[in-house]
This record gives sequence, C-alpha cells and structure tokens, in this order.
Amino acid sequence: MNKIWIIFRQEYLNIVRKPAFLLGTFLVPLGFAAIFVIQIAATLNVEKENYKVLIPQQSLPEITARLTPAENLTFEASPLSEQELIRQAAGDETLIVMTLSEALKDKKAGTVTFYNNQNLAKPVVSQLEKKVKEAVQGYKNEVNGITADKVEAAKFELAVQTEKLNEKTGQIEESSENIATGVGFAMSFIMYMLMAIYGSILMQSIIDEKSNRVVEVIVSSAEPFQMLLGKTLAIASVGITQFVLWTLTTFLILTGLSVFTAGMVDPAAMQQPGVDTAQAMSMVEGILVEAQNFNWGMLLWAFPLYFLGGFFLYGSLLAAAGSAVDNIQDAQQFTTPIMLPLIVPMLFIYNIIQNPNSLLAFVFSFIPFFSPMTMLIRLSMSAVPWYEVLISLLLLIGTFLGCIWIAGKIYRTGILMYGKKPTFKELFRWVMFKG
Amino acid sequence: MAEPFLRLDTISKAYDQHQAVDRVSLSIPRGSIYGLLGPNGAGKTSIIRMITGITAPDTGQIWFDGEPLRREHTHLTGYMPEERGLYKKMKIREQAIYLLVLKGMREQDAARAADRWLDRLGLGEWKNRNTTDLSKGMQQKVQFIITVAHEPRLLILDEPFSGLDPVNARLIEDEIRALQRQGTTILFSTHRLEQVEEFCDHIALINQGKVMLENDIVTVRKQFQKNEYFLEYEGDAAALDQLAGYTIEHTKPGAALITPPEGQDGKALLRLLIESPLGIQRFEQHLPRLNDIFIELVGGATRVGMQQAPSLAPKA
Repeated sequence: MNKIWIIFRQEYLNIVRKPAFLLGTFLVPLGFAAIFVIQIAATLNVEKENYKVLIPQQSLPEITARLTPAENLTFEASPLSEQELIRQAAGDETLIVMTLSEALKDKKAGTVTFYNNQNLAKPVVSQLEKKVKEAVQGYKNEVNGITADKVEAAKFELAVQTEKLNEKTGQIEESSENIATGVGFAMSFIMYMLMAIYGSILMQSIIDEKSNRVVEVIVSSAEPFQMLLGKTLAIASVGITQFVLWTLTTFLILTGLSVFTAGMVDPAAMQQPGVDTAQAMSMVEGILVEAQNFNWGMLLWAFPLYFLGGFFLYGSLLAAAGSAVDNIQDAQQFTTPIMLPLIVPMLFIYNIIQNPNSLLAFVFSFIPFFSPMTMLIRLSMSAVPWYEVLISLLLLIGTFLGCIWIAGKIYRTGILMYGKKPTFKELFRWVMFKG
Repeated sequence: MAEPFLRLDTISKAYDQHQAVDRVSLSIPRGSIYGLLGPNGAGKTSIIRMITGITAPDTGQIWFDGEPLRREHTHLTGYMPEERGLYKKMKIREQAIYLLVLKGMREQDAARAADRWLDRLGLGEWKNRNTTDLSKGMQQKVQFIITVAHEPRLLILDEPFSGLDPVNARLIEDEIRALQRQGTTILFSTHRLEQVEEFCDHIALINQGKVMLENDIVTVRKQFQKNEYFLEYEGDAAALDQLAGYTIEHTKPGAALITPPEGQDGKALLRLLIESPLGIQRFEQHLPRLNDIFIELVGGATRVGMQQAPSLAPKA
C-alpha cells in the first residue's frame, strides 16, 4: 500500500472519529438555523403585552381626542393630573402615561413623552409614535384646511425594484442581492474559520507526533515528505468533509424551515390586523424566492477549490512551523506572522461586500494569501470573468506548491531536531540545506 | 569471514559545521548481537539514522545483505529509538497495526502479528486501551512489539534497556536472544558498557564520529589484556614477596595482583605458586573491563556513561 495513503487514512479517521468533529459538524448548522429561527420569530412575534395609555385631561385634548386604539393599545383621557398619573404608572407596568408639549399645536416641532416603569420595547414605542403622528397630522391638516378626502387623493405608494442585467445577453436576471450578500459573507467567514481551525489542527498533530517521538519510528518507515503530504491531504479532506456535511445539514434544516414557514403563511394569519406580520412574511418569502435564483452551483466548485488552495498554502506553512518546535508555546513566534495575512481580508470584508467590483476586491482576489476569502465574495455577488478566476487559482496553486516545497525542507530537518527553539535564520538554512 | 549482513563503507555525515560521523567503516556479522558503544554525542544515533534510511550519508556507502542500502530495505529493519514514541490517545492494537502496515505489512498480517505479540507479552487485555492507560513498562513492551512484529532481519535498538525495570529488562533480553537464534542480526547502541559485556558478541567503540575499535568481544579483551594475574590465596603474604623479579600489589588481605618480569608469562608464575607454601583459591589473568579499555582509548576526560545528553539531535 502506498505510504501517503496509509498515513492519509490513519490521520483522516483519527480526526473524523473524534466526538468533537461530529459535534462541530452538526452543532454549527443547528446554531446558524437557531439564529435564523430566532430572528424570524422575533420579527413575527409582535409584543403581546396590552398597554393602557393614560393622558392627563389638560394635555392638548384637540389632538389626543383623535387618537385611535390599536391591537394592544388603548388610549384613555384621565381627569387626574400628570403627577398623580405618573405615581399610578410607577406601580403598574401596563400603564403608560403620555404628555404632549404645547408646541405640537402650532410649532413645526414638538415632543411626546411616555412614562412607564419598564424600558418600553422598540416595537411598542414605534407603534405609539405612529399613532401620535397620525393624530397630530390629522389635527394639523384640519387646521390648515386640508380635508380627509384630499389627503386620501394625494396618497401614493412607492415600490423599489432593482434588476440585474446579464453582462453578455443584456437580459434581466432575477436578482438575488440579499441572499448573495449573506452567502458571500458566510462563505468567506466559513473559509476563514475552516482554514484557521484545520491549519491549527494540522500543526498540533505534527507537534504531537514530534513531542511523542513517534515521528522517529514513522520516519524510519516513510519519507518525511510522504508524512507531510499524507497528513496535509488528510486534514484538508476533513475540512472538505465538514463543508459537505454542513451543506447537507443546512440544506435539510432550511428545507424543514421553509415547510415550517409555508405552514404559517395561511390566509387567516394574513388577515389578522398588524401590518408588521404581513411585511415580515413577505420578506421571508422574498428571501426564499431569491434563494431559488441564487447560483448555488458555483459554491460547489469554488468553495472546495479555494479552500484546498488556501489550506495547502497556510497549512503547509503551519506544518513547517510545527515541525520546527517542541511545543505549541514555541510555535507562537511563527504562527503569528503566518496567520496575519489570513485576517487581512476579514478586516476589509465590509468594504469588499459593499463593493465587490472595487479595485481593492479586484486586487485581493489575485493575492494568493487573500484570494480564497475575497474571490468567494466576488463570485457570490457579481459575475466574475472566467479568466480572472483561472488566473487567481493558478497564482494560488503556484504559491502553495512553493510553500509545500519549503515546508517539506523545513519539516525533514525540523522533526528530528529537539531541544532548542530555532530562529527564522535557521529555518532559512534548513530550506537551503541539501540532503 | 563470511559476508557481513551490514557493512558501512567509509561513511561520513556533517551537520552544518559539525562532522557527526567521520569516515566510519563497520562490518556487522550475520546473526550477531553487535554493540555500538560510545559516549552521548559520539555519533551513534547519526550512524543509526543512516542505517535506517532516515538520513543519507554525505559520502560512503552502506551495504545491506550484500546490496547497496535502498529505501525498501527499511521494511526489513526494525528500529527502536532511544526516546520511545507512541501516540498517547490511540488504542495500542490500532497503533501497532498502523505502524506495522507502514513497515510494508498487509493489514490482515499486521493485525495477526500484533495480536500474537500482544498476547505473548501479556498485553492481551490491554489491546483496546489508550497508551496513557498503560504503565511505563507496558508501554515499553508495546514499543518493542512495534519494532519486531514485522519480523525484521535487522533489528536496531537504541539504548533498549534504558528505563526498564529488571523484570521487563529480562523479558526483553530473552526476546532479543530468541530473535538472534532465529537468525536476526541485532545492532544495539548503548553508553552503558556493563550491559554490553554480557550481551554482545561484537562491539565497536565510537568517539567523536570516529571508530576507535571494532572486533568480537573476546578478541577485544585479549588485545587489551595485560601481563597481570589475579591471585586469591591462603597463607602468609610474605611468601609472595619472595618471588624474585615479580611485582606484587597486595590489593586486600588474601588477594594480590602480580606482574611477572619481562619475558615471563603466567605459566611460570603458576608453577612457582604451586611450589610455594600458599594455598591457591583463585588464579586468573586479569582481563580489563570494557570500561577501562574505553577510558584508555578515549581518555579520562570522556567518562563513559557519566553524562546524559539532553537531546537526540545531532549537535549543530
């Protein structure tokens, strides 16, 4: 049996069989799904608390009389004074005391104040604001001689629509901007995470073998380069396995979710008062439609290719660092400069997502140390010419081949070197060392 | 002499500026237990690493069973490094199989060999336990199994007894002898000479990367024997002093070290002693211990077995 394959299989099974791997593989998508569900639930779930809003009688009755109740709000003019009402509200969280500033009557700006013994939730405050605005506007319209039917006649709705044109055909493509942003961000973040995590696992595995001294036994049966290659390929494959499992689990969860949300969009639910619910539902539906338009197929080749390229690049350098030291503490001096370029695209991720066709994104997508994260965003959000992808991949491949060559040189000397922390100068000598 | 199983032909190896191995030639006879001796840092490990194919000599050639050493020969070699190494969080049967398969065994054969050896050394019940669950002695046995279970024709043991308790040391010693009887050639490196005297039939002394001495152990001791005789006797010590021309050193009451005059050997001395009134309890030629030979060759500055090098690595 081929030595690389034997080492590959052992290393791969070693990690995949660990409970931590299974846990990570299924918990991460569940975590993402949970966040998604909680967000939707929070949007759909309008505050259930019913509030009574008390208004001191002397507070601008011409305006307050116009207030109309909402689903969970009732307005009540009280004969009591402001101070007495506030005292009352202090002991009851369902009571809100409202006062209006005189300025609202004839000035361009004014204040409304709400008193409650809790911090009022944002949706409640915005609903209150909406109601008061309606009332003030109604009063001002009447004072200025604008009748209700004139207001009705002047009303209009503006719907905003963006269309994406295909560069070649000039045809309108179905837009998927929201989903593209989300996917681009998620993919480059997952890319970053996988490379950082699995790079460290590779380095740790090499340090363990060295500090266990197993390396001495193995190296008398297999070439150091076979060991390095077997391990690197194995851990890269673990990363790919994890990505595939994540994709499958996420797909299953999302399918489950869309069935679940579809069940909620029944006509009865839509007829309920409360515009927010309908809005949220149409937003969810919109995302689902966008999701169908998004080019998911691209991810199936782009993610694995860029992940492998990036992993070989960073992984081989981390492997070299691991082989040169006796323990993880000593590795620090080497890992910091290696991991630094990995973080750079994450620092600029906001700019790249804002404008995936900017010069910054363009240049980053060709720099091998940055391209895995950057190109994934560009591919998700815009049409990237095939030759740009090809050049970017070739640069990445060329660079990682060079890194693996250097790593192999350092590794073969490093794994048998104990007792002292080598300097960068020594590592350089090992690379140049023949034999 | 028959073709040696392993022959090192003027091999040299340098690390940076340091000449770790300097034109070393050795012949390891087929089926022998061959002791490679020398203080720490003498170049023993560097020589072993070249034999195991971990590194290649800068110059010179290694011959394995009459052929130039190739990578494939490492499958016929079992190597137990001085610093023992096992995966901590892996079941011992699994890692034995893994390391044996890496030595070129087929999976089923490796499993069978691992089971047989684990049972034989009393580790049958521990097969599916992690290394960390085992005592140090058990771990040493696992290490030994991994070294020998693929039936190597050349066994290289770097300090095989270091850290072993007497019971396990005896067990491993018996196993090594059994392997020798089956025709395995055993190369054994140590800086502890007392083990070598009872265990090896050939030795080589290495110091500062050079061979100081190589031969079978009887010849070595003869080569360094002196014309000195050790006597244990009964009777008056004054009787000894009457031996004309002989130098007498009374080492303790009833014992003496006697050096005959130039041109005389032990036979004449023994005849004189028999004719003397003394009762002879023991009479033997005083053979030097390896330790003495080594100190004589290397010089008192390098006391064998007295230092402990901190690392395996060749000094850069």
